Formats: sequence, structure tokens, C-alpha cells
Amino acid sequence: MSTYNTIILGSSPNALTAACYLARGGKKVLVLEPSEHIGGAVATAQFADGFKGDIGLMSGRLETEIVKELKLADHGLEVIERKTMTSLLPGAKSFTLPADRDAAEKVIAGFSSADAKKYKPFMQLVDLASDFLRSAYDVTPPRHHPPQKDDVDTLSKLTSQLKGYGRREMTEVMRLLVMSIRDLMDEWFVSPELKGLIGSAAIRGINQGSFAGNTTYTLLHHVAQGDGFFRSTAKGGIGGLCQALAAAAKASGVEIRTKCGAMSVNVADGVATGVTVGSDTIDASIVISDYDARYTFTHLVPPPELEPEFNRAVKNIRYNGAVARLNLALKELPKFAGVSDDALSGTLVLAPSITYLEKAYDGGKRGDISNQPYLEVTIPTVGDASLAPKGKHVMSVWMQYAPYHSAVKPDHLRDLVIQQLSEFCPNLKSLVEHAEVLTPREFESQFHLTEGSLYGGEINLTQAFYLRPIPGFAQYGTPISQLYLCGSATHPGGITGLSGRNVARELGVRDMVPA
Amino acid sequence: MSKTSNNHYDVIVIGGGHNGLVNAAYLGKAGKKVLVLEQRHTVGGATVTEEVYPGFKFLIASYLISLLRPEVIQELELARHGLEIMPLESTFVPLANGNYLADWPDHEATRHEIERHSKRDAEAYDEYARVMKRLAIALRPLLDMIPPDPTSVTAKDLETMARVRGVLNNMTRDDFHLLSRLMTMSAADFLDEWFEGTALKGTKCTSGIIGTFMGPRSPGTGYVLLHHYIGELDGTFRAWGFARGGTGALSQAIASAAREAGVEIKTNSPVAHVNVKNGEATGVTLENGDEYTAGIVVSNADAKRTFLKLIEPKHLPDDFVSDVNRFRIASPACKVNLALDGLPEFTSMPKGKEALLRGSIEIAPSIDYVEQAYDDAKYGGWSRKPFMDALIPSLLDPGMAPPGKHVMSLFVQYASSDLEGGWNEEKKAQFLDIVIDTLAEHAPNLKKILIHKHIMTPWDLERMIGLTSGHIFHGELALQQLFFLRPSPQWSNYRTPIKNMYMCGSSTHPGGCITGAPGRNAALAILEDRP
Repeated sequence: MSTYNTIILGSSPNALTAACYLARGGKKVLVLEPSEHIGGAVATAQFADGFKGDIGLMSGRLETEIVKELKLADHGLEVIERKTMTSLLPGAKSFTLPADRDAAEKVIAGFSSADAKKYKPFMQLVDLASDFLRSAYDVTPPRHHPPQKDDVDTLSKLTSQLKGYGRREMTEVMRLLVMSIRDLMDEWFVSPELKGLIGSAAIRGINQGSFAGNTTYTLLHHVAQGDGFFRSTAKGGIGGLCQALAAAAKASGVEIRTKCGAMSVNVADGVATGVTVGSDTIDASIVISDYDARYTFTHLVPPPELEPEFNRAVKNIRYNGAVARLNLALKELPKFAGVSDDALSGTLVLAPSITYLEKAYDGGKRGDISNQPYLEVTIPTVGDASLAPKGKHVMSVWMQYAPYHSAVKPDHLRDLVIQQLSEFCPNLKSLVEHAEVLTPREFESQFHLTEGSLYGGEINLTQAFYLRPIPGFAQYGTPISQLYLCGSATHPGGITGLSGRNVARELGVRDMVPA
Repeated sequence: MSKTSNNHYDVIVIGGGHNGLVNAAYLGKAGKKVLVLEQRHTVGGATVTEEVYPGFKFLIASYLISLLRPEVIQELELARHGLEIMPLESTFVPLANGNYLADWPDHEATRHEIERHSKRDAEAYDEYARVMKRLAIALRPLLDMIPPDPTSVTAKDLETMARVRGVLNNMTRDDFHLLSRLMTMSAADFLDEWFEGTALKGTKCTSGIIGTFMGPRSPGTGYVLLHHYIGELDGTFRAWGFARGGTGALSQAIASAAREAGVEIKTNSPVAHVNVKNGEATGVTLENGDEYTAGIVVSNADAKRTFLKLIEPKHLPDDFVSDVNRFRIASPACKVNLALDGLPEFTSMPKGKEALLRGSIEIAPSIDYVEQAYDDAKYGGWSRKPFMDALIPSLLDPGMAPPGKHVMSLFVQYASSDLEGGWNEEKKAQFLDIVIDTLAEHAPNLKKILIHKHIMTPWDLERMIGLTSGHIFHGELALQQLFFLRPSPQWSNYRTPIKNMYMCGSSTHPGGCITGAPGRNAALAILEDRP
């Protein structure tokens, strides 16, 4: 039996990215995935005969530098851009915002000349703020308090970036991080439809409403990850990201086992010594969990190994999965009233106003499903015919709020979503051949995502930077020596691969680009 | 009126609210010739006691003292000028099931009471009290600081930034992490981490929402919770106090200290505008046309009123005007006063515990209750079951009502300043009825003993006292409006883009409540510039 230096539990883009860099650093790496899909919930799987749908996230982008450094294009990564956002409005109206800012300005001028003038300056401010976040995301958060030498280096680089923006811009960026998206939208725009469309990115994936403080941080997070407004996926669906990473990993000598069976971390005297998988015990000097902190420390690690204080911190992590996902197998391409066929390759959004989003959350916060939900819709088959039988299509829907603590019935949810969309696409119901509904409960039971959180813990300011995933443990290490975390649960959160790359750096990999 | 030397002052303070008076008193003590101009017939602004109904003294706006800086009390010798603060003895929270929750300044007594509801919470309460006190002590120095501008590289700003870092670096890593979390999270999430008791969390969460248009589940309310904890009274944290004679008596005491320092106070003198020449403030013109000149003009009014109404925008940079415009000031707070022919009888108050009537009576049985109250109001409405913090001042100071009769003062949330369709007398009456009905559910004899009822909605607080949108803190205590961002980046140090013009109201750091801190800090800033 071969011996491994490093075992990674889970196979999300962060796990595979870590595997690639560690293998480059000369480690012998084994990746274990209990499900049949590489990627876990970041996968695209057949949900009806000949139809493939994304399981969890339905968009996402790997960090550009990682794509380059790991030569992922050579390993089959083909990015598909969604270049438009179409806002579905009451009365079967809509408008389509293109990624090109000049063109977008013209579209906005069609309903608000005041907002059209402000669009580009607004996006420039968002660029500054998200570039700043992007820099913060590329480093391991400060370790000590008060900051010591390495922390001071990290912090002063970030501070000088901020200062380089100019005095006014610096404070504007700082304000943004703590603002509610409602406040931000009110400061910039007047038209409810533009506020709703842009603002929806601020509540995407969290169980908070648009009036809640700090929601702008969540928006900036998505933008910093290249998954803000104009999004992307990969050929073959979101799972295409993992397929390319897995190919790169294998080429570097990483071994990947899917359907590996139940896993647990072996710990002796506070040190991780390896993994038990099925009936096998595999030793390794380093064990990395791609799972979220609560799942890792309540299911993968024997509980007596942890101090009560640490357990309390784990318990306090906010997960609050609130997203349900639907994949619909469609007989033919649906027609949305007033929406061009071109726009069907982009993202359709039902978020007509900031108030609409807050009202959707009013149910969500009490553990009820929104009757008027926030929806995002894509038809991935428009850009990638391989996902459905010829002439047929897949519609993928993101629905909020379907909170983990609600008694959500999948059939009811399916009917609700189809009914909402029928206003814009009247014959939708008759096109549906099959529907797959995934609620936070399914994400938890099938993919071990605590409370169904697709991000391994809510993306909010209280759980960011040196506080993610647990204050005092933001440097990827854990109270158990030689056990690390690498998933979306860790800083910065998300599926860009940055967590994986940061972990590899923490574990001593210095040359991110091979000689 | 011609300009004579009689109309010239070193400093004119626009508005005789408690911060304006504090500011004037400090400047007077420093030897300046100071004039305070107050629009109403009495000083105090929102810190007044008024006989709205014959024989009954109402606290028409602010009602308790909790955050008044001890420096202000000592340096202005307010006790000698008649200020007498009576610590609030308890909090009583009636519950729907006939039970109640109480707390007292005495930790052990409160702990016992909490234990009656949950043994686990009683244990957590010890640590909670210690932690909150530690955080409050750590942050306290920031309250008395003129905020630095983090974008500036002047020696002064760099030195102040270093002091801010010092405050944070003096904390342990655990406390620093906890502070970071508390500042960014919701009061509800924070309390959920500590406690299980519904009623305990209900009453504790109210410190996170008082005066703010947020619900306890909104991130940002954790900070407000801490803001109120910093309140300090004779060394006791989170102790609320009642001034004998009502909060108006505090204003009178500060006014007395100011007058003793040579400050002149003119009431019934509403200012129409600030006079600006070549980018410098030169004085003010009253609504009756009278002019006063001064080397320095200080505004105690909120930022919106000061810079959008009292000063012509042409005198201000565009960025600053847009900062003032975007300053969030929507308010959900009302004040109700009741004249009573006896004491309310709370069904959940056990025999022998009537002393609890002398404290605060809080209608906040759960976080859900308070959140629902917010939800009802947040789209331009009002709470169908409001949150209330009530007090019976006449039990503490019999002079507040005729013998045998009582005054009840209620702080009430939420009723939107941006009420759909706007406020009018009929809507005021409707909301007042809701307040009374809600209270009567807990004290059924209320309507029988009711002699007179009076409400100050955000609409009234604006038109009577001049608070924009009726905001009791002169602007939301949202994170983007705090410290070096309050009220505007680069202008958080009490100075303004207009030379010789300053701000001293709650729109500046550290914001609202009866703290006196903006008034005092502004005086320090002015004396730095003009020793």
C-alpha cells in the first residue's frame, strides 16, 4: 500500500487546488471524495435521462492566476461567460444589462437618466473596493494580536493599497464594507429596478435581507471572486472547474478516489496521524479537511480532542443555508416575454426592487419559505448543448429564501418557482419533463454541507478575514496539530481556489509557478 | 438692526440642546464671550421637561441619563448646579404568560432572577457581564477622542491614529476578536450565542435597537448594544439614571454652569441662517432679522439641518453636500407621556414586588416580538405591537405630578418618520391608541386611570424641536456613520468645510444619547484652533 504525505478529505475546487500546489511542492497527495462526483456539491450531474445540472453553485470562477499557474486550459477548462443580466419585472417586463459598461449605460438611460450617469462611477468604486478585497483574499489573515512582524507586513501592504486610492476613495471603500445594500443603493440610484438587480448580489447565498447592515460586503465578496454581476461557468457545467483541476492534479501525481466510503481523521495525542476510510487506515503526516468547520469537528474528528471554548466557537458559526436549487429538464428552449434569445445565455434575475428582496427575507428569517422569492435563472444549454439531449434544454434556478430550518416540501417549492416564472414564460409548466429540487436539507444530508450552506458558512463580515472560519484559527490550522482546513469555510470563502492556494503556501509551498 | 459691539461675540452656539450648552459652558470657562441662541422658549432641545398638562411634568423627548460623560459632570460641577441623578433601581419585563423577568444593578440579585428562568443563563450571565464590561472599558477612551482622519498624514492625525491602535492593541486577542464580531453582527445573533431564555434575550436586545431604525436581527445592532453598555454612571456600567425634575433639569444645570461662566443664552431666538463671507462664517441672522456676529459659529443642530437649511449650499464643496444628503436619519422613535390618576397594575407583577414600578418597565418579551415590531414599521408603517421602555418618574420624584397622581413616560418603537402618506393628527391619535392598548394588555387598569395622553412622533420631534426626521441621535448609529465617518469622512473632527464653523451636536462622534461628549469634544477642537 502506498504511503501519502498529505490526505485531503473532500474534492471542491479548493481541495483540488491545494492538491495541485502541494504536489508541485513535492508532496504525495491523496484526495478522498465520498460521493460519486469529483467536486462534491460543486459538480454537474445527470438528474434526468440525458440532462445534466449543476448541484450546488451554478456559477463560479477560478482565480485567474490559478488558472494560469496550473495551466488549466491545457487540462480542459473552457470558461463560458454570461455576459448579460436580465431583470424580470412585474407585468412581464424586463431589461437586459450587458457587461459592457457603455452599453449598460445606454440601457439604463432607457428608464433613468440619473442612474445612467451614475452607473460607471458606481462600478468604478465597486472595482476599487473589490480589488482591495481581492488583495486581502490572496493572503493568509494576520495571526497575532497585537500584530507581529508578518502580520504588520500583510496589513501595511493592504493599507498602502487603500491609501493609494486617494483620500476620498479610501474612506468610500471603508464605508462600503459595512453598509447595508439598501443604504448603498439609495446613495447612488433612484430606480427601484436597477437597485434591485444590482443589490441582489448582496444577499446572494446569505440568510439576511437587503436592509441588513454589512450586506454590501457580501456583494463585494462575490465581485472580488469574479462572480458578482456578470458571471461565468465552465464547459460541462460548474463541475467543469473540478474536472480540469482534477486532470491537472492527476498529471502532477495526485491520487483521487471517489465513492471512497465513510471517512474520519485519526488523532493521537492531539496530532492528526492519518485517515480511516471505509475499513482502511491510511497514515499521513498532514491531513486537510475540505469540509466546513462544524462538519469537520463534529463528524470527522473525535469530539474529545477539542476544548469546550473551541467547540463553542464552532457552534457559533452562522451557516443558515437559505438557498434551494432547481434543475428543470425542458422539452425545448423557453421563451421569456420581451427577452431576446441572446439574453438567455446570461443570467435572469427576479429581484425587481430592494423592498422585494427584503420582503422575500421576512419569511426567511422566521424559518418560512418566501412566497415571492428572489430567483436567479440560467439556461446553461444555450451555451453548452452537451448538457441535454439534442433540442432540449436545462433550466437552472437559484431560489431564496428556503431556510434550512423551514419545513420545506420540494414539490411545493417546485410549483412555487414555476408559478413565479410563468408570469414571464407562460408555457413553462408544459415544457418541464422532469424537475430536481435540492433544499438545504439535501445539501446537508447528501454533501455534508452544514445546514446546507453552499459556502461552508455564511459569507458575511462577522465571518471574514481573521474571523473565518473561527477567530484565532484563520491561518488554516486547527487545534489539532497537522490537521488543516482548506474549504470555502476558510478565508476567503468561495470556490476560486484561493483558500487551497493559501493553504499550500502555509504548508511551505513557495513556488506557485513551476520552474 | 445695526451691527454694534453689543451684537458681537467670540462664539455663537446655534441651539441650546444639552450638547450646545455643554459646548458653550466649556468655551465660556475658557474665557470666550459666548452666545447661545435657542429657538424655543426654553433651553434643552430634546432634553426638556414640560408641563404639557396642568400639574403633570412630561419628558417629551429624552427620558433617562445613561451615557453622560463623568468628565462633563465633574468639570462643569453639575451637582453644584442642581443636577441630582437617581440611579434606576430595576427593569421589569412583563411576559404574556403571567410571568415576568426583572433585573437590578446588583449583579447577584439579577443572577438569581435569571436563574428562576434558566440555570444555564444564570451561569452565562456572569461571564457575559464581565465580557461586556471589559469591552466597554476598552472602548471608552474612543468616546472622548476627537476622531482622527485615517487618510491624513498630519502629525496630529497620525498621533491620534496611534492612540486608536493603542486602544485596540491593549486588548487581548480574544477580546479583540470578540469586539470585531460584536461590531459587525446582530444583537440577536450575539445574544443567541450566550443565552437560551426568550425573555432575557428580548430585554437585552433592546439596547441594540434603541433609537435606531434596525431590528435586533440586523447586523450592526451588536455595535449599538455595546454603545449603550459604555454608558456609565458613578462607575456602574449600563446603569440608567433619572434626573430629579426630569432630563430638563439636566439642561437647566448645564445652562446654570454656562451662565456662571459668562455665557449669554437667548431663548425664542430661532436662527434663519449662518452668514458666510469668503468661505468664513461671520455670524448668524435670526428669523426676526436680528444679526449677530462672531469669530466662531458652532451648530448644535443635526448635520442635515445645519448644512442643508442654515447654510446655502454654494458655500460648501459638492462632496460634502452629497455626504450630508446621504447621511441616514430615518427614525422610528416616539415618546408618549401619560397623566394617571393612580398607578398601573401589571397582572404579572407579584404581590410584594411593587417596588419594581420604580424602575424601567420594558415591553420586550422576546427578540421575535421586537423584530416583528420592526418589520411592521420598516416599509413606512408602525408596529402593531410596539416595543416600549416605560418609566413612572413621579415615583422617583413626587414633584413630577400632583399628589396621588402619576406621570408615565414611554419610549416607543417603531413608527416610521417616513410614514406612508405622511403623519397627521389622526394618525398620531391612532398610533397613540395602539401604544395604550398594548400597554393595557399588561396593565388592564390603565385606561381607567388615564387622565391625559400625549405623543411625540418623529413628525413632532422634527417640527417642535428641530430634529431632522425626529432622529433622537441626529442620524443613525450605523457603522458607516460612526467615529471618523460621522457625519462625513474628513469632517469628523467637529470642524467643517467653512472656516470658523464647527459642529457640536449628536451628528458628530460619538453620536446620540445624553452624553455631552460631542459638546465637550467640539469645545476641545475649537480651543485647539483658538486657544
